[in-house]
Amino acid sequence: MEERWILFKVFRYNPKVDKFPHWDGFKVKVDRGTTVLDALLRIKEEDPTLAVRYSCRQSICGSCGMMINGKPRLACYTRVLSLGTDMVEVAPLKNFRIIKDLVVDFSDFFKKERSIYPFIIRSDAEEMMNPTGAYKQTEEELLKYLEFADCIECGCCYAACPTTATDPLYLGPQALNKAYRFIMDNRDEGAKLRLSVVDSDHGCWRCHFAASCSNVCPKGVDPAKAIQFLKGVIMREKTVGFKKEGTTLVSYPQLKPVGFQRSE
Amino acid sequence: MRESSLMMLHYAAAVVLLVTGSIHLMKNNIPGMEIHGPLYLVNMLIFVSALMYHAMNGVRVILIELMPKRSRAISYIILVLGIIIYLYIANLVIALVR
Amino acid sequence: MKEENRGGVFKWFDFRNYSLERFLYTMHRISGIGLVIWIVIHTIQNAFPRLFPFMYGWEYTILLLILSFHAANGVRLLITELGFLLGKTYRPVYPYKMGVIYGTQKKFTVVILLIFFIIFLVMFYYLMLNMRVIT
Repeated sequence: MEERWILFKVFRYNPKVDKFPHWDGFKVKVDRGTTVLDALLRIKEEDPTLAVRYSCRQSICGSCGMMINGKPRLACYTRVLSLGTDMVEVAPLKNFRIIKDLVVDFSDFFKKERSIYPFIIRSDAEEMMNPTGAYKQTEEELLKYLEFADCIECGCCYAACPTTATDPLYLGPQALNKAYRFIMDNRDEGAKLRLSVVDSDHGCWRCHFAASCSNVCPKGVDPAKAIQFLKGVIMREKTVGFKKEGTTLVSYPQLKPVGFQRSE
Repeated sequence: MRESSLMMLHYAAAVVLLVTGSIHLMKNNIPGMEIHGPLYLVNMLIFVSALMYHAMNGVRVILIELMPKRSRAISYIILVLGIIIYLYIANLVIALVR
Repeated sequence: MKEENRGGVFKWFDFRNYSLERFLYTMHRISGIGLVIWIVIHTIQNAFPRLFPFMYGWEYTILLLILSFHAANGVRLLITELGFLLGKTYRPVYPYKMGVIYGTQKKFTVVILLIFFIIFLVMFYYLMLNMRVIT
């Protein structure tokens, strides 16, 4: 197997101790399948004070987002040799506050996500508290929002967006994507509530369709498309009115299990 | 006003600018175009109104992204400045096109 | 404060690692600011015609480029920000096709850039005519 030595330039900063950040260099031997996360863990064997966040190592948890060669990517998803350079620059995710080295503070990000009510809202509270059945949804109704539901909340889109670079109050592509996912879900009845949050001074109108969020998303979620659709929904609501088809409730005794079904 | 109303006016002003701006450019640059009289004056006044709104809203959006904490103050200052400059330019247009 | 780690205004103009739409966003901002400056110059020129007489010159080429780009990209933003011509939603299957920058929206962007070029050429022709370079 072909093995090469690659130089890793890693961003080091401890705000409690250091005045200024600095870069540390490490030489790591990589082969065809080594990811940036593998290389960082080998660096950690050499220097245990390096702070790195990681969990699943299979691009499903969203913990290991960082700026690799200037673009926000997942460290477990990026193979070192696919970057094509002899020196790889690893820095913490942009537009987030740095806690230490490569670990950043996601509390603002999650606060913005919570502000758009990321859960199904219905008017029948008794059914929500004590459910007696399940809601039917056809394949077409599912496809309207399924793509936007795949978000793993890694923060790469938030780091790539040019508006978040100057505006700390902007909701960000992840929160707006989630708002659209819940508005388009026909089980949800809280569209008005979310539209009043999204249609504000720092909401979806501060997006100018630079589409960098969709460019870097590791799960193919496409927040740029969601935000433009969201603007279309707001415009439609102002002019001709926005109506959504509801769902029907199928009570539990009526739902008969049909065994294992293969999807064609 | 809600942000979506401001942006809807921004898009409407953009469409109006495309139409009235083309007429203004065609009259001044194509040799042999004959457009006179009160129709052209009306065209120029609509053009200047839409242009002022579109430009001021654009500047407001850029300033809000740079100074997000003071968005109210920026909106009011842009409104006042916009009205003053619009009155001056409309006066100039009426004097010139007459 | 380095701890804050925000990109700042420089990120508006840093389109190196991203797609065509990021470049068009940067150009739209720059052309918008350029057009605001042009409005100021044009107003002063018309208010004091004796001090600044109007003459056709080569610097108008830059104005025509800025104007036709802002108009063409503006039409593209108008249509896509109302939700049209963006492509369908689908089940995302690996390898992901990077979303809205691949497909219907990209073809529409190419058409818009062609329209920008054609409008610029038409206006440039009349500029050359008025400058007496061609008759």
